[in-house]
Amino acid sequence: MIKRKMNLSLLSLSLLGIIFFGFLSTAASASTTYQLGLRKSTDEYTVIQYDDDGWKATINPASNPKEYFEGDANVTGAKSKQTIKGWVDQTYTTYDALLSLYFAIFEYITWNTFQGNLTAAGYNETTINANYTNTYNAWYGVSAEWWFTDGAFKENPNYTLSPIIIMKDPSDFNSILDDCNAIIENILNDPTIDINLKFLLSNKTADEFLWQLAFKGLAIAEPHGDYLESLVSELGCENASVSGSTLVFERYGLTNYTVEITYGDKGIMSSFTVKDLGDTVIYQITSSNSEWLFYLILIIVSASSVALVVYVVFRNWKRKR
Amino acid sequence: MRNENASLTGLTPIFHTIFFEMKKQRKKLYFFTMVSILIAVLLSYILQLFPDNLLADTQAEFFSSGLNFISFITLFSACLFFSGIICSEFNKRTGFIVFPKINKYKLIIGKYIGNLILVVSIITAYYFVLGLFGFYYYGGPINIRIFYSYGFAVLYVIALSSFVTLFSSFMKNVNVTIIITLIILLMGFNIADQIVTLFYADMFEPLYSLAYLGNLITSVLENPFPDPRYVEYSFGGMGPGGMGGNFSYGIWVTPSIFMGTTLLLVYIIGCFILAALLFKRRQL
Repeated sequence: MIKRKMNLSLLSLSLLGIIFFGFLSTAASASTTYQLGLRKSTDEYTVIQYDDDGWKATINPASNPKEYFEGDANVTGAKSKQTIKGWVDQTYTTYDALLSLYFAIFEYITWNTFQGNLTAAGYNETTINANYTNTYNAWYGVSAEWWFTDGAFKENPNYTLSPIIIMKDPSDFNSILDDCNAIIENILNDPTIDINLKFLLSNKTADEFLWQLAFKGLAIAEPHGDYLESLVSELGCENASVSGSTLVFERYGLTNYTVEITYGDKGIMSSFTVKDLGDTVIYQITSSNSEWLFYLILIIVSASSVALVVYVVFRNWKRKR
Repeated sequence: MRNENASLTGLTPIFHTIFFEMKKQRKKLYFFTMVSILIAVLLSYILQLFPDNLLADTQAEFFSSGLNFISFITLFSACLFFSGIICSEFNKRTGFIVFPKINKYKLIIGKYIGNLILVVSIITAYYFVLGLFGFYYYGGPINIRIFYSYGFAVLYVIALSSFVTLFSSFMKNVNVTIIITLIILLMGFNIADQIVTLFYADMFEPLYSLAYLGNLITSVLENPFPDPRYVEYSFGGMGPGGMGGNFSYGIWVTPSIFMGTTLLLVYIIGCFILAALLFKRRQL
């Protein structure tokens, strides 16, 4: 009997040991790579401040925040929301990265318009991927987006497949930039390429590329600070820096100004702030969600259920006595 | 004052029966509540733990996909809770009690209301869990149409319960009542709907079918409400996915809100009247 008990306790200890070792080894392996923080949920963004005069005097008299965000982004109090729907592991080839990460929308349209000329000159998917063999692993998420509105949200989102792109290794962005710049350089030097296409394509600096990515669904992995540091340093940005989970861009319009993009616990944008030379906030968007209320309701319901069960059990026990 | 007291005294046995019935059926309640909560958690939370399983675009679509099993839950619970309402009294020969403490109609009404409260509680638990996760994923406010859907689910349960009660009024055995009502509700109506649609296509809407009327629970969540309500698919052709051929099949998606509500009410009233008449003719 005693021997059986000892065997049982030895078995339990071994199982516990295996589980504990599993935890430790997971933690050890996790610390060497970046971890995805995305969660299926909805975040609401609110324009909490917009100084139109300040914007026009600092950035451009003919522009407003609608250049960055869709809808009524230039109205204080306007709201937008984003629902993260899911994500998959995705491998980008150089051609994929060129089209979906490197190109701005007008460049993408231009590329498609001149597809025939480019294919004839050897700039199609097969040849580009054969010449530039790098592949890049990413988490590719999709979200539903409701654009900024100063009224109530429409029931259906404005866009149902908005991308969220998180490279598993932030240094991949540097390889993408180098490869894509090399491709563009070849195209610009190729005499068989239409001059109109050459006129519309150009190389990008690291700052331009990062700025563009910030509006193309760039999200980050955990630990956020390390990821951003690695991203900015690997790219070699001159006018971008990192402060905690915030990416700071030094920009120039009519005067110098800064744009601060903070990434929240899920790795997506949680606030967007534009400041003028004197550090005065010209424009600010912040995000919020109702998750705390969900947990509060869950705690109340769980506590009530437990209390009810305890009461019933106690009452029955008392009756039996 | 005296009349008021008299009527209250008259209602007291019904209340007693309600509480007694609820206590008697509590194990069924626990079982069905657990099952419905588990299904709701599985559909609205566990499945969403898989990142490549995309969350619905809107809260209403999320509720709609989560309500796929509500017809099964309502159907099984209605059959199991209401099948014994009348026939168990015949089966156990309670009519032979020499000095009955309660009028037989009050007994049946009390039993019916007691069971209805339990089944509505099960559905409420299901909707609550679904609503809670809808709030978690999409934030507030909760889409108003989930409450319309809940209203239709309750109406549908009452219609199902009246249908089962009708069978219980002339069947002899509880188990046979359960089996027959389950067969009719699960298979009978669906087979009949398919045959009717096959022969009459869009000429005849299967409004007689409780299964078809139950589609209102999910279709009321759609924005806009399905229109047209009859959809025909063709296949065997050269179009995308083989569409555009001469083979075709049609499907009635949902009844209109007005017609669905009216017919559910007609079912409820009709079945109760018939059940009462049969019960009256049959001696306990």
